[in-house]
Amino acid sequence: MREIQEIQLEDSELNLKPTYEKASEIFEVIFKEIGNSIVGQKEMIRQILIAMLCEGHVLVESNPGLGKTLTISTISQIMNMKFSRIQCTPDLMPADITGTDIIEDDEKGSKHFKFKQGPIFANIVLADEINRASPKTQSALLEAMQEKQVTIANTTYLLDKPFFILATQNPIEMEGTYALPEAQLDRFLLKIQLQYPEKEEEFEIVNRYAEAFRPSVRRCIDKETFLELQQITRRIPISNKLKRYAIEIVNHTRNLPELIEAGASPRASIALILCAKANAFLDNRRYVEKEDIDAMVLPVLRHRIILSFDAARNNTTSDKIIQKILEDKKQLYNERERG
Amino acid sequence: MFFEPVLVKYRTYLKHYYGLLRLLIIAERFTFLFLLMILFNAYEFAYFLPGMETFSKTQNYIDLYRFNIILMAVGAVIFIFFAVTCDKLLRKKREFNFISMLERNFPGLRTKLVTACDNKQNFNIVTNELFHNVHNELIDINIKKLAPRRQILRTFVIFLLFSGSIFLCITEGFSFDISPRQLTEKIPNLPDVTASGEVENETVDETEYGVEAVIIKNGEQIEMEINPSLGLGFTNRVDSETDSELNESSNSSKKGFRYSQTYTEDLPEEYEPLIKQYFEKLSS
Repeated sequence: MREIQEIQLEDSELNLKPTYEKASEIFEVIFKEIGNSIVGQKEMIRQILIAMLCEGHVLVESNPGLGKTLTISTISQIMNMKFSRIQCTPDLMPADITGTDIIEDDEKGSKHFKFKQGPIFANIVLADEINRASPKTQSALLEAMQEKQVTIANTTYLLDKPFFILATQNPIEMEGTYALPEAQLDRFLLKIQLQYPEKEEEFEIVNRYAEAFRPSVRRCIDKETFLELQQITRRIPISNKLKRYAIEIVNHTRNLPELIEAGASPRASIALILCAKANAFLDNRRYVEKEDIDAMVLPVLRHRIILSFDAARNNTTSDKIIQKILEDKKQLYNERERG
Repeated sequence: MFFEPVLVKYRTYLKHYYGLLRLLIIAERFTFLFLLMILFNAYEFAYFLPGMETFSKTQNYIDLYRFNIILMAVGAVIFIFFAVTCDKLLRKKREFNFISMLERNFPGLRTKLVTACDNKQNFNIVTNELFHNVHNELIDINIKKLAPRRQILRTFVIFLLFSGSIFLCITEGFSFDISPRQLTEKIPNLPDVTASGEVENETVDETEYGVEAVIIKNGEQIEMEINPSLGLGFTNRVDSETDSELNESSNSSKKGFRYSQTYTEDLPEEYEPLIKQYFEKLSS
């Protein structure tokens, strides 16, 4: 019984083997390097990496000065990826993001159009204060986020892989902003809410950045390795009962009309399972556990539900509702497990 | 998948044990039921079937006692068969979940095993490692831990106890002095109830005074109700004072009590000795 008949894996699988074998080391180094530059915010860093592994995008809601830009630029340096930043303003035009055709003279003196790439042509894009951009500009990001391509003057340009957008929005200043439409919100894999650092963490931040010291980060992996990690993430197996558990949670958001006007879509179920896989992978586990799903429920669902008028009037937040749903489903799952 | 043969082997091993346990439980319940039947002379139930009593007396193959024992054994078999069939029909819904059982008892396999089973058609670099991992953990577990040996032993001992008791009861011919027929005789006659639930022909509770209240003479019923505590004895003439006392006592005794007119009427002379005899018997 001890002898095992080896399975013949396909070549595509065998190509992933070196990366797969050193995946835990890679993650360890990434976290260590980011930790050299960023103090605290471990949850944000982890969730950004999860989104990147799932080929998704992240919406970060936080007050200014909490290290969003530093985090994302650090990640791009560690992974040796092209990074660009878009500061969104009401007068920002779609062409400012995607790029445009410009007239250029050639050697013979004749003129012709040449496409000049916008900041979207990067591996990691920081769309700062995305809710300040006009709806027209916001929707220009849609195609890029979903299809990973942009179309300008009937020509489609594929974006480089990996492609990751980290958009931020300020939860306080809502004047002169354009709230993101639901369709666009749904395209963000995760919504992260940042909190202020603890006193001790802030002390460390001050120590590091109020002096001449500028932390340097080391390049740990290349784009290709990261793309392989993305492929491996999707291969992490999950049991059928956990898939049903995740679906039940998402489905429950559609059955609370008194609290939720519009529940999460099936895209949320896909996102939840994918993120759970990435969470397990980051924990160096080769299968998904219930705790992986539980950990990802809030960031996956909080921006995908629309609260009812009554819920909003009673100051109920989407986090509270999701937390309640999660507790109920956890209890149900445990009861079922006990048989 | 390569961990599957191990699972099949374990499942077969446990199936044998659980099969044996199930068999023993059925045997234990059968012996318990059979013992109860013997103790309470349950063979009389069979005699409620038309023709059975006659058959038991006319058959010449075995003596009556053995015939009754066989009747009870057949009854117990039918009852157990019926119970097992019902149980099987219900059990269809709650399948024996072998994978959950393994995961519950061996925490190292928690979630891992069910994930491997659900993804056994999915070959890739990650599942390959998971399958190896599950296989290695499976071969290291002590499946004997899950075999219900204690339960089997306990059930077997109980079965032996019941079987021994049955053997003793049969050889000694022991049973309680209670039988279904006696029980049915002891059950009081219930009032007739109409379809609407109302009690029809409300009658006096004949045990109200602890005496028989009706005498049947030549096919005729004669009401003979009187409160013996009054000590009136029999008279066919009741004065107005006694009459009111009787009425009062009758009315106040219980709601729904209907006082008899027997003593306010002149009875025919031929009943007189009979009624005298009744009260003499009552006072003795």
